[in-house]
Formats: sequence, structure tokens, C-alpha cells
Amino acid sequence: MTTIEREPAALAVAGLEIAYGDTPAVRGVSLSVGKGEAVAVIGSNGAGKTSMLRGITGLVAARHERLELFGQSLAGLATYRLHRLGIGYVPEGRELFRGLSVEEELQIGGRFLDRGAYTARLDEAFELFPRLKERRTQITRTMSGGEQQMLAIARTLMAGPRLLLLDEPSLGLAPVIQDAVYGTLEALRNRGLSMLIVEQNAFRALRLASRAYVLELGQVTREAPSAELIDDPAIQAAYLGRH
Amino acid sequence: MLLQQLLNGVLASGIYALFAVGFTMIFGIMGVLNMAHADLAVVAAFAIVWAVSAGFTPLPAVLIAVVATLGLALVVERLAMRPGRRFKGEAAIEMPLIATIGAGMIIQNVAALIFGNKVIFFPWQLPAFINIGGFLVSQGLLISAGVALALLVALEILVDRTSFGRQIRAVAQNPTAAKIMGIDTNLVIVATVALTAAIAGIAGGLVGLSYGFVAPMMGIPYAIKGLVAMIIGGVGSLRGAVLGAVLIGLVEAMAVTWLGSQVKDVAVFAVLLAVLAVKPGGLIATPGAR
Repeated sequence: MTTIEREPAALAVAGLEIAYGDTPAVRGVSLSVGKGEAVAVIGSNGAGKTSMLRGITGLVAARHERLELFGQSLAGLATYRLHRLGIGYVPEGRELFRGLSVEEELQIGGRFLDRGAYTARLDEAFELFPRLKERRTQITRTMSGGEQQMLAIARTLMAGPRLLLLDEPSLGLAPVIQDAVYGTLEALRNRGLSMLIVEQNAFRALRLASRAYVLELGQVTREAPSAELIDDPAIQAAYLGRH
Repeated sequence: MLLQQLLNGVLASGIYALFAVGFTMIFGIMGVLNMAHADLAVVAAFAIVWAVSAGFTPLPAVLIAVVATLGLALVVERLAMRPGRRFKGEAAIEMPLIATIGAGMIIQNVAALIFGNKVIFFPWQLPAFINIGGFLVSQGLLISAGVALALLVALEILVDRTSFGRQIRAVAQNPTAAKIMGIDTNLVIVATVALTAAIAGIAGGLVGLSYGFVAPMMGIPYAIKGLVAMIIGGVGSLRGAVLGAVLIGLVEAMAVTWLGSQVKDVAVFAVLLAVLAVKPGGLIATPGAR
């Protein structure tokens, strides 16, 4: 007798609840990211997108029925443990270390690698973001927003994550820089990296992702293939700035 | 005469610097002061006094001092500092501040209860003065300054060049990002506390060696000098703390020479005010400081 083993999802979340005091921010969100899949969560400012990622990564207290990475439960794990398990989290506002150099940020990301693997990973990062190679000794807080965003992604990739969580990677960047950042994310998606991307800039996120969730007032109100949402007049009016 | 005093001032500043770097590292990584930090020197010094009087040879005596000092430092961190991280705003700073002042008082008074609230001769002494090129130099202070210099260089290399040092700086600069990048912030903080406690303990031993005696309250003047040196140098900067300590050593020497030993402390605070008036962030401002 043979059993059909279904491959577990890269990320499976069920019944995620987050509240700040008496104010609920995320109300019973369930979502999944398949292996090698890019999934977007779109929603307006204050819909609970950032809270959701902070809850998944343990930065804020959250209740959930299920929280799994490739079938492994993340319940009760401290935030710092997720990095070793393969979650790469690029938070809103980059969250770089103000006084470290570009190379030091990358060393922090790749500190569990042996020397050979580290060098190979560093070369990959510099190939994806040639700007960072030029600026390897620069202190990060003196770099432009785009360079900081690239570094935030690059240092996360140093650890070789199995799942990438991205919070507003285009926020505050000029359109041409957004193109560059999203170009890199597309390349990563094409290599089969699973990713969950949260964006107000819904059009870019929907073009990157194959599937998306719409988050309103802390609840998932819709789940559909990205192509369907891009063509939907209601979505266009609400999130894509077309009337 | 002045050169003679300045030389001894610089040598004495080695011990000040060891306290200053401890204060600045703890403040840098936790954003709070450990007011019991200098009292860890009392723990180390009295552990040696006790061990030697109990018949231990030097090596086990030092080991006992290390265990006592690190152990107590970790207890202070766990009970008097870590709970503050549960709070937000001012309380997160005030709770550890007051709790560590209390911890310091407990250390001072327990030492006074056991050994008496008086000056006690240190079992190992280097009180002799030696003549170097016409200058009379305290042998103990010379050795203290040498040990301090070696420790400070090692500390600078550790913080600046090693993976552990990068993690210390990462936690100091952005604890949230550190967690995201897989750094166990509590562990790095505990390790930093242990490291600074070891340095304070060594400083306590050097005080005993150099001056020949120790006292339960001896941590207080070193706490003041360490804190002032940290602020003069720029909070969060190792080099700044060392610079501040040397400045204090020199100012004390000049004050003693020209104005008499009773104005020594006043002169140090005058320099502190002068530095803050010109450079409010201290001589070396660091981006890592909070």
C-alpha cells in the first residue's frame, strides 16, 4: 500500500489573533504559503498587515490554532530561534543596526556558516546587489533608503532562509529603486524561494505573487489568484489607485 | 613635582578606565546603569581576603574570587536588571537604577558585617615605589596600568573584530533587529554582564595590590569616577571611557599639586561640567549609544 504524502506548506497559519490591550489588530487570520510559492497580503494602512508578521515571528504576543514552518510547529518559540529554523524576516523600516558597516551586517546574517560557505554566500549577495559590494565598509545609517532595503534583504539571505517574510519592501523608495528591489525578489522567487509579502503597494506585490489575501480590519476578506485580483474593479478602486 | 604627579595620575587612571568601560558596556547594551557594578570589585577583593585567610594558595583564591564575582553579577542582572525590560518608558530605566543601588548597598553592608566596616590590609601588596628615570613611581600602579592597558586592548579587539563583539554591538544598537537576525539577546546581555564583572573583579584586585588595603565602601569612589569617565568620554564608547578615565587621572593629579588633595573631586566634577557644556554628548559620541 502506498500513501500519498502531501508536502507540508512552507508556512501554515490558522486562527491568528493579536490584540493591543482591548483593541484587536488581527482577528482570526488563516493563510498558507506553499513551497516555492510567492504569496501577497494586501490591505490598507492599519489593516493589521505588520501586526500579522510580528505575531508570526513572535515579536508581539499572539494566539493561534496553528503556526507551522514546513510542518514544524513554531508555537512558543522565541523570535531569535526562527532565524535558525529558516525564517528570513525583512521588517518594515528595514531595522538595520545603525552603527555597523555593510559587511558587518552581512557577517551577522552569515555567522553560522563556515568560512567557505560564508564566502560563497557573500559573493551571491554581492551578485544580487552590486551596490553593496561598492559600499562594504560604509556605515549603514549613512546609506540611501534603497541601499538600506537591499542590505536588509541581503543580510537575511546570508543565512539561507527557507521562507522569506517581507514587510513593505517598497515603502519610501523611488519607483526606479522599487523596480530594482522587486526585480531581485522576482529572481529569488524564480529560484524557488517561498515568500510572504505584505504591501500597501498592491500592484507590485500582486505582480510578484501568484496568490494573494486581502486583509481588512484584521480579517482576511478575500483570497484569490493575483491575476484575478488585479483585474477586479473593486480591488482596483480600493488598492490599486485606479478609478 | 607636577610631572611626577601627572605620571602617577595617568597610572591611576588605568583602574578608573576598567570601571568606566564596564559602566559604558552595560549602559550601551541595556540602556540602563548598573549602580552595583563597582561593588563587584569589593566582592572580588574580599573574596581574596577571605580565601587567603582561610589558607588557600593564590590560584584557588583567585578562582574563588572569580566564581563569587561572576555569580553575584549574574544574580544582580537576573533580579535587579532584567525585570526592568518588562516595563516601558521611564520605569524601564528607573527600576534597574534603584534596584542596583540597593544591590550595591547590600554588597557593601554584607562585606561590612562579615569583615567589619573598616579598612583591611590586602594579603598581596605591591606598595613599593620604584625609581624610573628620576621619577618615583608606585610599583602597584605601574602594574595596574599595564594590566589595564592589556585588558582594554583585548576588549577593543573583542568588541570590534569578533562575532561575539558584533553581536554585542547589534544588541546595543537595535535589540529587535538582533532578535530577527537570530541573536539570543538575553544570552548576549548575560555574557556582557559576566565580561564586565570579570573586569571589575580584576580592578578590585588591582586596587588591593596597588594601595595595599581594601574596604567595604571602596566601590563608591570608583563608581563615581567610572560614571564620570563614561559621561566625559561619551556614553557607549569604549575609547571615550578610557579617554575620560585618563582625563580624570590627570585632573586629579593637577588639582592635588596646585590646590591640595581636598579639591580633587571638585576638580573632576568641574571638568565634567566643562566637557558637557562644550560637547553634551561627551568627547566621543557613538551611534550605538541610546
